[in-house]
Amino acid sequence: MKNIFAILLIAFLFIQLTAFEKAGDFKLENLEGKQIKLSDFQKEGLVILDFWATWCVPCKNGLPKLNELHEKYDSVNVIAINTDKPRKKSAAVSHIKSNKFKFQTLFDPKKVVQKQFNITSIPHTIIIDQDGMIIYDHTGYQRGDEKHYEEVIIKWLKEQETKKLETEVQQN
Amino acid sequence: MRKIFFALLVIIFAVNFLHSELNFSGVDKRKFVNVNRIIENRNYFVDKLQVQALYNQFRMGLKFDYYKPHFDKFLLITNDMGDDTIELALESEEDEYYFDEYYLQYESDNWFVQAGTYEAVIGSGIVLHNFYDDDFELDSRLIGGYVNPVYDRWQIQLFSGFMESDNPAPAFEDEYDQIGAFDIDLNIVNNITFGGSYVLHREVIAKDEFNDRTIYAGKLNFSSSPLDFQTEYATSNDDNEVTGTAFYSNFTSYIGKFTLMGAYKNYENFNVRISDLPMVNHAGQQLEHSWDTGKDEEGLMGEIRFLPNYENEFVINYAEGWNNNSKVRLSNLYSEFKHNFEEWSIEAEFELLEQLNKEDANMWYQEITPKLTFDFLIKNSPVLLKAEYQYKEEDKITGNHSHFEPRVQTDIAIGNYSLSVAVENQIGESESAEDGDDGEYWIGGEIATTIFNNTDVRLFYGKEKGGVVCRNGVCKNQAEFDGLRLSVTTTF
Repeated sequence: MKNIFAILLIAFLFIQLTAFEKAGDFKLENLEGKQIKLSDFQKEGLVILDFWATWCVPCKNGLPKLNELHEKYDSVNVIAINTDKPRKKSAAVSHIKSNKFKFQTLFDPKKVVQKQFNITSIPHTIIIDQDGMIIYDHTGYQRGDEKHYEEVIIKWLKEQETKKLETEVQQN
Repeated sequence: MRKIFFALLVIIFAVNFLHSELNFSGVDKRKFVNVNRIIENRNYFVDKLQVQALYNQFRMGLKFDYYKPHFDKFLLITNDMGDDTIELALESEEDEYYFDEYYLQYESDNWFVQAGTYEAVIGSGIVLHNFYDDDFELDSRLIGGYVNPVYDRWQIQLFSGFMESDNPAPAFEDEYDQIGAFDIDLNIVNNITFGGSYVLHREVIAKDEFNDRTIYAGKLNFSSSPLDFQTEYATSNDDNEVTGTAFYSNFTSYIGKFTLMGAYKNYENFNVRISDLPMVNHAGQQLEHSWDTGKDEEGLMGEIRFLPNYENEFVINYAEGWNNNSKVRLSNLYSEFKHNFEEWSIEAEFELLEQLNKEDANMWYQEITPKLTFDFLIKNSPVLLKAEYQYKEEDKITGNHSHFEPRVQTDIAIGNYSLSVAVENQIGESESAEDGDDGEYWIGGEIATTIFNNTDVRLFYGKEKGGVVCRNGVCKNQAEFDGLRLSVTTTF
């Protein structure tokens, strides 16, 4: 019994060490009832996933700032994933539409995606790059947090620029 | 020893072989609690470990819970309970460990299939919503199979499973309700979706004995830029010839800078565990605390939202609810004004809730809550100041009681550390067990930080009242608490 436990423990530690932070694909319904896939947006650049609910005040405070980032950067797509119970869906739709937010809003009524990204508290913001790697992960929203998101975006844009230049040099 | 070495080699080889396609992730939530239980300060420890493996289109998950002992956060222990009564109540908190969740999922472009523990929902939840709520410790998840083909113009949900019985009697400890469901959505015309569903709920009433309840339901959704409309109707019948009906409808209209919203509910004999009925009021309150939701109620809600520009927002919401003879009633008024600047914001809220029950209790209850919130930056450090002055009045056979509950909260973040302190006081007497005594204070503080980029640490010390608590930028539904709580959450 002790041996089995030791094997399991070591295997678990090994899994923790080898686990790499890669976001798996998912598909959820948007405001219009259409099924949207994460991978469709990854092709365009960075994806900011934001988990929110109508009863969570900091979540609602963060949404206008995320909308600003979505509109400011062409290569950044914000996807707001609503975690309200289905009976509150109409309130969530009304909040998004009345504020005229431009980003994608998806609904996760069966918590499949919340589980996939290990969400235990909201708001929760995750930034995923083109290769599907999670490059930023943050729980909570306080005024000014959007500046940290923007720092990550700017750093990533600079890296892309450098990569592009290196490729051009190699080709020449 | 050689066997262990061999087993490790096999695991390492397998993981490396699959490394390019295999992705492990998970979360480990550990919580240590030292809580004042009046006769003693009790220690509790809980560890919830959730691991999942993703391989191509397959996902496998496991969740293991360990309690030493199980902290019943809703166990109401008051000063007027005798030592023996408290001791007896605490005896129910035992050491526990079990696999809380296990599942295997397959997802392709058009198919989602899963087996094991899962949550399920049909429409707005009127007909069926099986879910797990960690904050309220509600669990109606199913163990079984689920199939969901999704195409552009239609989708089907077909599932069946077992749900743990909620009957607290020891004889029902290992008994399960059985559920089978079929649900179809058809998007024949753009913007319009029709749907229908059938559910069979076999509620266990004794060993191998069930009360069968069948539900038929229909739904209609219309979505466009100026108008959203949703309506649902369900009817049920069980072995005892009890017929139930539920009707819920809402619309939202977007006219320039105005948003108008209206909702209506009518429920009769629909007070069943698998239904998650919309409350149709801003406070999210049932008609009256002792009145079963869905047993017999009707209600209306209206809301006007005005956003003249990016900086300002006005909301006014009013709801009325009643039973068939109007002896049980609810009214709820909510208004909000928010002004946003680049570096700061101010939010003023006012809420009035009134509940009456002359049917099976002679009581009237009123709650008035004005609230003011400032949110600003001092040298890049966010500061939040929140003040509310709640007034509660209750009129029962035992007399009339009223009291005030002023509350002040401040949150500040410096670098990687966030601190939140809240002080609440009670002025006046109350008979309600959830309230305190005249002059009683609830003072609590939380410090939060992130270490190693993937571990969230939160330490709370003091007393706090239950409800939705937003602290250090994170919101949770908390039960009343008095003591120390350390939570460490690691994602990997």
